[in-house]
Amino acid sequence: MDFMINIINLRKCTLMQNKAIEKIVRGKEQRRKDLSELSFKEKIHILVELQKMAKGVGKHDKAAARNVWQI
Amino acid sequence: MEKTLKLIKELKEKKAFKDFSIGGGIAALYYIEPLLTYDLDIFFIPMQDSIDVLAPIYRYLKEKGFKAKKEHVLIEGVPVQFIPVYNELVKEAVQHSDEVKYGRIKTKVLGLEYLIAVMLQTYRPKERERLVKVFEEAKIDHTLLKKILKKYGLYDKYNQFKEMYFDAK
Repeated sequence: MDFMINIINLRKCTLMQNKAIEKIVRGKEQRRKDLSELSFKEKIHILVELQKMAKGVGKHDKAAARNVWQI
Repeated sequence: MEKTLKLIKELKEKKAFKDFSIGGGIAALYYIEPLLTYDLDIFFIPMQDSIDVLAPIYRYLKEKGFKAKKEHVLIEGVPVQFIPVYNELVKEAVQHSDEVKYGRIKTKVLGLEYLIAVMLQTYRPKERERLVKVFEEAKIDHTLLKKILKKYGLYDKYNQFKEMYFDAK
């Protein structure tokens, strides 16, 4: 009997986890969609921020060759 | 960026090329979420067929004080790469560009369906990565896309791509 209860609890737990992951995935999808609807200018500003971040984490020689846009 | 786009527009007005359009990563970025890229690719239709179609562009830019460095010209802080249309698809893509606004400047970006076709034709890893995002996020006119892909013999490649990344045609 205990074994059955454990199985049921495990399934419930997995289902809840799946729902939580599903919610996160849906949230991420929505975030990407929202970002895709930004104006061209806003997207370019984000791009420059991405370039700054990449420069900070990239290999020195490669990062130096790829400059951040000075706009 | 506005200054860069203004100067590119000026190049057309000064007849350095017949027509132009933004392609590559920046064109993809226009339709999807921002992605990391470093170049502003400008596809252009030359005024005439000659060996050095870049000469009038570089000449004008030099007069304005901008110098070419390797394959780029740094225009107002943005590395710009000028790419002459290299086949019929790219030429048609430039001719069917969307007019878009960047701040107060009007410029041109490859139409979404043509951009997809060009990316399918080029098909390097970065294009495949961008294509996945485009199919997930952009609003595509599938009738127009199919027409373009069939015209340029890319429809089978498109189906292979869809099967590989989306498990469906």
